[in-house]
Amino acid sequence: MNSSVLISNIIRFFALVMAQVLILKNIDFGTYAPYFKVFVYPLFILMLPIRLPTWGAMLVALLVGLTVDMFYDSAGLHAGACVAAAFARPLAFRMFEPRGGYDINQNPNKNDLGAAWFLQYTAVILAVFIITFFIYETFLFKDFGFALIKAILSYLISFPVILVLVYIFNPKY
Amino acid sequence: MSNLIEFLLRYNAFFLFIGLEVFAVYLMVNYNDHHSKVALHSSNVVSGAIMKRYDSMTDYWKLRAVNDSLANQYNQFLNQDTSSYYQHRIKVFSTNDSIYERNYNYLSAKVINNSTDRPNNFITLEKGARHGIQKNSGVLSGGGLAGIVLKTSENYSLVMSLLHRNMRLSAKIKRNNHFGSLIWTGNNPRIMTLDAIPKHARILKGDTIVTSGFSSTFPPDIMIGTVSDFRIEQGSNFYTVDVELNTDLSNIEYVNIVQNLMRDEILELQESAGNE
Repeated sequence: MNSSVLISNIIRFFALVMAQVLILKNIDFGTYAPYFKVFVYPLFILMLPIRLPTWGAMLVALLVGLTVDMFYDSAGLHAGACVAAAFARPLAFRMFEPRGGYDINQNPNKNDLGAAWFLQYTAVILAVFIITFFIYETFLFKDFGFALIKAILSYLISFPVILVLVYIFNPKY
Repeated sequence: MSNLIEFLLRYNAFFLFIGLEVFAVYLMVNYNDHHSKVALHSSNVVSGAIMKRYDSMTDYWKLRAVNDSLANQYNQFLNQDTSSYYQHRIKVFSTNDSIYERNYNYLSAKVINNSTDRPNNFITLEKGARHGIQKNSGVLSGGGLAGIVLKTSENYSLVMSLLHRNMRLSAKIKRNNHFGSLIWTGNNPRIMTLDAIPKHARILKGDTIVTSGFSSTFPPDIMIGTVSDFRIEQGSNFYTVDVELNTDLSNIEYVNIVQNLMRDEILELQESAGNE
């Protein structure tokens, strides 16, 4: 049980990072390119086991973020957003805690906790991720209202992409 | 002190969060402008190698965009090249002579469009009305004829090529001055047909065909081509002569336009005869 969780998370790490930097990074929205950033790799942070302590989740998130940053040439930008998303995880868990609490062996996916739970949870964490991301991006490039529009549009496009991935692969662990 | 440690442990996640965010911001501030510190950039060994491999795979997908940009660049270069400018120079060489009055003037022009593969071919020249090119002027090329000016605009003129079904030129056999009309049947761009040479005329293969000078379009005795074949069609009183053109109209670059300075006088005279 434990090793299968570990292995599936490692596979997810590489698969999602590769998908992000090799495919999604290269999607060309033409004129609208600055408005649409599609993020799928936050799914990795979303799907880390519930029992993983927050500090562990944050360190792993930092690792994912820095890995993606290497490909985006944006040291720290994705890492900061990832850490924020990981930090928000326990808050989201508490917000949507089912009656009777979480089972020790439950994983944050729609099989164990239901589609409605997963939808709300993803909505919150992804929002934290994208808002942090664009705050940092603005902090770097200084253009705030623009960043808000970008954040909203990117959220609207990343959310369905992540859900589609979850529904296609339907991960158990 | 123990309270502080307890406090830190109790809120470990929050302090780690703050610490990691500070670290991230530190990276953003320090590494994004410094190219010497490449460990976190796509030029480092791992991500650099992956990106390079990936790039070599996806180059193909970018070919359309690359082609577009190359075409644009080429277009830009063409626009800068001298060939894309219009030359206003008008080269006319003329001499004044008290014994010989000038009858023909020649202008040179560059061919900018030409065809030989259609039933009706046209040549476009880079000189027009303002250079003195008039409708119905003859056009010479290299060692022979090219056509007759059909239309002129301000800077360009359209020439009916010899290789046009409506072309009808007065031509004669140089050796014995028998004349006929030269037409193109639309088959071979090197061969035209000389009609209406009377049966009693002596024709030999290789006879030179020249302009007759009967029309005001071309001066007389300009080489057109040589007889390559001749025959008498069934029941006809005239020879049908195949004339191999002296010029290859498929590769002409420059042509000379004939200005007949006395044409108006000739036309006037002929018209007055027609009216009587």
